[in-house]
Amino acid sequence: MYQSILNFKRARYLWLALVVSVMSIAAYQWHQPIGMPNGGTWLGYTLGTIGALLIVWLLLLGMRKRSYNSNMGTVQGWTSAHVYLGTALLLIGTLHGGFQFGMNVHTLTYVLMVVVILSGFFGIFVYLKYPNLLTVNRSGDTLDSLLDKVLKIDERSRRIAATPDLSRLVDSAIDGCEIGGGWWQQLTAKGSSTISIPNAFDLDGQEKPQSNKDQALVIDVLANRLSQLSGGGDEAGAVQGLIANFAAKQTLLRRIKRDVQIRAILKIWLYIHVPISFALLAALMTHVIVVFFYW
Amino acid sequence: MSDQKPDYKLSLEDTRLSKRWVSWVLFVVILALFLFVPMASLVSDEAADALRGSPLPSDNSWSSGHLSKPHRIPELNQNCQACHVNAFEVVQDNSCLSCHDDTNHHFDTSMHDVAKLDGSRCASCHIEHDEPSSIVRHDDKLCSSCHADMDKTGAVATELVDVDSFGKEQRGKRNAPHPSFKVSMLVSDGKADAMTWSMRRVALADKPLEESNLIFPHDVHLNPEGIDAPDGNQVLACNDCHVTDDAGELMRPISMENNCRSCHTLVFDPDAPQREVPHGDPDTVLLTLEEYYSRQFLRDSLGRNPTPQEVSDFILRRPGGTVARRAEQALNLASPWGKANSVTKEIFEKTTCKTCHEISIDESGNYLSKWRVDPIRITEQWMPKSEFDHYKHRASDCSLCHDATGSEQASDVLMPDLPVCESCHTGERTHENKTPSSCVSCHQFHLPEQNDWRQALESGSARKVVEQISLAWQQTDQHLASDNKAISTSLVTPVVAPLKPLKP
Repeated sequence: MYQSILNFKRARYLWLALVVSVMSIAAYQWHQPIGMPNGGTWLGYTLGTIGALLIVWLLLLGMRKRSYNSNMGTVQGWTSAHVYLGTALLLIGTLHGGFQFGMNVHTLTYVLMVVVILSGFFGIFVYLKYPNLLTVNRSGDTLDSLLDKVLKIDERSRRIAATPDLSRLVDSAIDGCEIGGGWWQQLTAKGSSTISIPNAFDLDGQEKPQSNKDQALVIDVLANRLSQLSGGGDEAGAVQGLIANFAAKQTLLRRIKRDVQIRAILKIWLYIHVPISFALLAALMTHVIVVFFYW
Repeated sequence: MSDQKPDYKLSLEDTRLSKRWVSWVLFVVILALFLFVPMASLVSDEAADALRGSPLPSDNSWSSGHLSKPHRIPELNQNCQACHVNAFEVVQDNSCLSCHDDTNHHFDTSMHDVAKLDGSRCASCHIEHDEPSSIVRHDDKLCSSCHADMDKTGAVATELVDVDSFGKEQRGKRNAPHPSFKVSMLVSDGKADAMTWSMRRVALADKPLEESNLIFPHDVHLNPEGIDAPDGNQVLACNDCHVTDDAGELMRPISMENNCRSCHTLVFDPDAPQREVPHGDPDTVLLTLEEYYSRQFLRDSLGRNPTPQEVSDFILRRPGGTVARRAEQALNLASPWGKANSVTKEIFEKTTCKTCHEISIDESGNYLSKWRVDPIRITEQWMPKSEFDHYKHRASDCSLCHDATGSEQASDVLMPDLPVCESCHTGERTHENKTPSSCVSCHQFHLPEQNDWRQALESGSARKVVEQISLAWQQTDQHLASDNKAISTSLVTPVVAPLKPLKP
C-alpha cells in the first residue's frame, strides 16, 4: 500500500501531535495565572520552550533532507513528523502567547510562525493534489520527450515551408516561441511567444513582432493564406502541412506549459516557507533574548 | 537533439527566485532591526530618544504589551530601564518602591514569617505589560492561597480563621466560607474621669452592646411622625446626622456640636432662652450657673445691672467689713447659691444633661460639682479591617443594612452582618445577577497599620533572623568544642544585627 507522509507508520506523528495538542489545551484551561494568560507564567515558559525547540527541530528537516548518509530515521518519517508537529506548533505558539498581540517583536515572531505554517499547509495541499495531475498531463511522456517532439515538428515545418515568405513566417514563429520563462510565466502558464509576419501575409505592410500566444496567430495567418490559395498547388499543400504541424505543436506546448506550471506550483510555496522560516529563526532568537534581557 | 533545444526556463530553479539568499537577508535584517538596532537605546538617553523619534524600532519594540494605565507616563513608557535596571535580571522591588515608597506590608514581618511569601516580589502579583488585566490583583487566590489554610502558610499560630470564599452560594461547596463579621468596638473600663478605653474585636453574631455611655434611641429620632424640635415638628432622616467624609466612603464622626445641639439646646432658664450652659466639664457648668444667678441676685439687690467688678467681688467674697456685714452677705449668698445648685441638680439629674448622658454622683468632695458625666466615646469605624464605600451604595436605603428604626438603645450595634452583604454580593463569579465580589473588593492587601514594605525588605523576615541566630550559636558551639578554650563574651554573642525598630 502506498504510504504518504500523512499516514506514515499509521500516522504515528499525528497521534503524537494530537496528544501534545490536547495536553496543551488541557493545561491552558486548567491553569489560572495571575492576570491574563501570557508567555511569562510557568505554563507560558513551558509552552514557549516546547515551541522554540519544535521550531529549531522543524528547521532541521532542511538539513536532514540533504544528509543522505544519515541514520536518523527516514526522510519520509521526518517529513511526516514535520507536518504534524508543525501543525501542533500553531496551537502551542498561540497558547504560549495567551492570545496577546501587539506591535512588537514577539507578535512579529508569532506572525512569521503563522505564515510559515500556513505556507506549509499549502505545501501539503499541493503535494496531495498536483503530482497526480502531473502524471495525467504527461500521459507517459517526459518533459524532455515532449520538447523533443516539439523540435521534430519545428524541423519538419522548416523543411516544408515552400516559399521564402512561408520560410520567414515559419522561422519567425519557431524562433519567437517561448516556453516557460520567469516564475510568473511558469505559474500562470502564459507563454510570451511572438512572431513577425512577413508583408506578404499582412495588409498593413509592416513587419513587427506580435504576440503569438498559444501559436494562435501563426495558425490564423496560415489558415488565412490557405483560403487565398483556393486553386491548390504546392504552396497550398505546404500551408496545409504547416497548419497541421503548428496545431500539433500547440497541443504539445499546452502540455509542456501545464507541466511547468504544476511543477512551479509544487515548489513555489517553498520560496515563502523556507526564507520566512529563517526570518522566524531570527525573530525567535530576538524574542528569547529580549524577554530575558528586559525580564 | 537536445543540445539544439533553446535555453528554456522550465523550473523555478531556473528563475531569479532564490530561497537561499532571501533566507539570509531576512535572517540578518530581522536580527539587525529588532535586536541590534533597539540596543542603541541602551547606549544613552539621547540615542534612545533619537531612535524613538525615527521610524526604526527602539527597545519599545521589545515590550510585550502596553503598560497598565497608571504607568503609562513618559517617564516609564519611554524609558524601559526605569524598571528593567539590569539586563537579564527580573524587575526588583526597589524600582517599584522608588515611587511607591509608602507601600505597607501585609503583616508584621518582625513577628511573623510566612514562607509562602518568601521570594515574593512586587512583580509577583503586580503583572505589567499584561493588558487588559489590571495591575492590581482582584482574584480570590491572592488571599485564599494563604488564608484558606493558615496552618500551611508557615506563619506562627494565629487567631485568624480560615477563609477560602465569599458568598452564600459558596456555602457548603467550599471548606472555609467567610465567617460572620467582627467589629472593632471601643470598650470602657472604670468610671467617669478614671474611665479607660480599649478596642476589642467582637463577632456580630455574639450580639455585642456598645459601651459609648450615650443615651440615644434611634427609634425616637426616626419617628415617621416627627419629633419636637426648636422650630416645631421635624421628621428626621439618617443623613440629617450621618454625613459621609469627603471621599464619600465613611461617615464623619458624630459630635454634640455638629449633630445634636441644634435640637438639644443647653438652655437652663426658660426666661432666658439665649443663655446656655457650656457643654463639657460639670464644674464649669456649676460655676456658670453660680455666676448667672449671682448676677441676677445683684441686679435685684442693686436695682440695676451690676458691673463685672461687682459680680467678681460678690463671688470672691473679699474679706473685710464687720461681722454683721458678713452675716448679711452669707444670708444673701444663700439665695443665688441655692438657686444655682437646684438648677444644676435639675439639669444633671432630670433634664438637659440626663437626656443623653449617664450621670453619677461623687460625694468625695474632690470636685466642685458632685455630678459627674460618664465620658462618651462612640466607635467611629466599626470595620477597620475592610473597606466600604457608602457613596457606591447610595442608591440603597440606609435601612437595608442598618436597622435603626427598631433600635431603642444607643448600645445597639447597628452594623450589618454577613447575610446582609450576601443578599446582593456573591463571590468572584456572578450568580443570579448578584454583584461579583472578590476578597479585595472589601479587603486590602497592603495594610496601612503595618510597617512599610521597604523596611520589611531591609530587615528580612523573622525566620531568617532566627536562622542567623541559631547558625551563630552553632558556630560558637563548634568553636568551643574544637578549641576547648575559655569562653569569651564575644563568642557567645550572636553575630547578627538586631532588627531595626519598626514604625510604631
